[in-house]
Amino acid sequence: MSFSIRIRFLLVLGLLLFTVAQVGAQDDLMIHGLVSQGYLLSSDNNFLTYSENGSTEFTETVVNFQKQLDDKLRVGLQFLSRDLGKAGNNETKIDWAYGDYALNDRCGLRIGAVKVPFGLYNKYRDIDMLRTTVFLPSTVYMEDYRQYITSFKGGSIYGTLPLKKGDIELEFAYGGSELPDMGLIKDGLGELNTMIEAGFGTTHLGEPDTDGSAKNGYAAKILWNTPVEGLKIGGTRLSLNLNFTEQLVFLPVFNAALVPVSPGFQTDVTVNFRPAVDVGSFEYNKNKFTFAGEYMAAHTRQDYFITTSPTMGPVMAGSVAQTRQGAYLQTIYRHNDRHEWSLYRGEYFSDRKNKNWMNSQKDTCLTFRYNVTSNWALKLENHWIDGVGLVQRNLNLNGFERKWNLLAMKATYNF
Amino acid sequence: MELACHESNLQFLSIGKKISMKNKQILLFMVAFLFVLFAGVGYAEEPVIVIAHPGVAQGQIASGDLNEIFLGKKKTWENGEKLVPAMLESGACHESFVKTFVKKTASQFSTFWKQAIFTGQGIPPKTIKSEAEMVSFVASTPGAIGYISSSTAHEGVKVLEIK
Repeated sequence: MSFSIRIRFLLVLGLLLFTVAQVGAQDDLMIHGLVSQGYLLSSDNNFLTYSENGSTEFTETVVNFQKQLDDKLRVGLQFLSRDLGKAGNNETKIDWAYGDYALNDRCGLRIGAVKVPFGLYNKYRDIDMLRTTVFLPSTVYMEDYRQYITSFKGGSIYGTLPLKKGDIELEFAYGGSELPDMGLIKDGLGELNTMIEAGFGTTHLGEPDTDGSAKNGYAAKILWNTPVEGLKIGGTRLSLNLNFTEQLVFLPVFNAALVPVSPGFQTDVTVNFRPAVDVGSFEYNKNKFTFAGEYMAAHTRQDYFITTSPTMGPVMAGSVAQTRQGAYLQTIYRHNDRHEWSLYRGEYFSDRKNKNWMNSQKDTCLTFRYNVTSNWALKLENHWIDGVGLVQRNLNLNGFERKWNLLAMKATYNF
Repeated sequence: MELACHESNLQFLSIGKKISMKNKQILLFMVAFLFVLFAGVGYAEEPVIVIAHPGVAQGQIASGDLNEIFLGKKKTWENGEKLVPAMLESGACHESFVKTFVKKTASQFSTFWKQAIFTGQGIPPKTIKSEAEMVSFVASTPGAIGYISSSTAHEGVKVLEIK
């Protein structure tokens, strides 16, 4: 869908909802949105998109609608269209859509597609207008987890527990998460294909099966707003259980006389992906400064099942278990309403026992944000990176450079 | 010889690309830094009073309650009546109130509510363009609470004592 058609569609939908909502509801329908365009350029290594040549495949369009129906019930939904390399491709999806029922001033329920509490900033990771930096630190907010933790189709319960000084915020979300973009599945299974070929012979990947499932996911958050003014400390736990399948075609095997000795056949490969991710966080706001830091440990297991013979059931083709760790420390300085600076340093390891630059990444990031008006924001960001542990293998088939830079620019209009 | 020259040219182009990109980055950051030298918008501190609809039962309000009201954590008065908070769009009075009672700068406060909007976690207080309009809104809206400069005329509203 082209950019202009996308905007017209969203605006027409917004006007229709506005008109319908004027009947019998308590307050006005609120409509907000934003349009954002970015540019990525890397000195080496393609990151998220073909950034070595410069890429403008870096856009978001958001429209949301909210309405307070009565004193206790609020409803809303948000459409998000994004493009970042092979992810999104400008498809318009529902980012969240739920009814929020306030049981009292302190707690409530949300039913629908609810945002997932993960770390301090996951709920708005797709909307960089809401923060100083273009990218959240990928050493904690890994890009390959993004599609799983955008929202849960289910619900959440949330509340605030007041203390003598400060309070504790609690939230528990449960439901099914989104499956990855099909484009990302194909790229991810490219690595699986290599594994299978090594064991079972030449294969060819067919089209992905859309009957995958994402069940039994949950995320829990606790956040202590401490008695020290501006200091909050918290943690989140995320657990997912994802299954998706892909058609796999085994090509016929021929002997030297070109006589087929093994017929070709088609089967499915099923991936069961079960991550459990813990994040510990703090944020301290003092005058014009914000200091923040987070630590992430992701324990994952991926099992692959294929059927190698029409007469046999599925067998496990491989299993990978790993613990990935990452952390960052950040300082943000808001000079005034117009100018903001951010500096963060993050480190990531996919295998603590085997640290090398191929499976780790150190990222120093400097960002300048200029708020032209309250509606317009411009950002300029540079990353100095050592390692490629978080770089997409399928975008870099010709190999990697250890030390590289990534320049990111973004312009956003919000209303 | 030709191959060596070709490889040498490729190396030069590669280094050239890196130097060129590095220079672009430095230049862009220098331009950005120049913006910081220019002062942004700033206001002198302004004494603020908190006003409420004359029908509101209570005559006092705790500083901590103001914080919770304008961060969306408190939605009712002590007697259970619905709270209708209103905030100014900008200005010295708005900055003073937000800094003193919400413990945020105006920019942080704006970002807080934008985050709530774009995650569906809340609807911000009603935004009022001027202090005169604030007085008019609070005077005519049951349960309303807002703030104005102490020097602004405020007939028709109740002034709450902050405890």
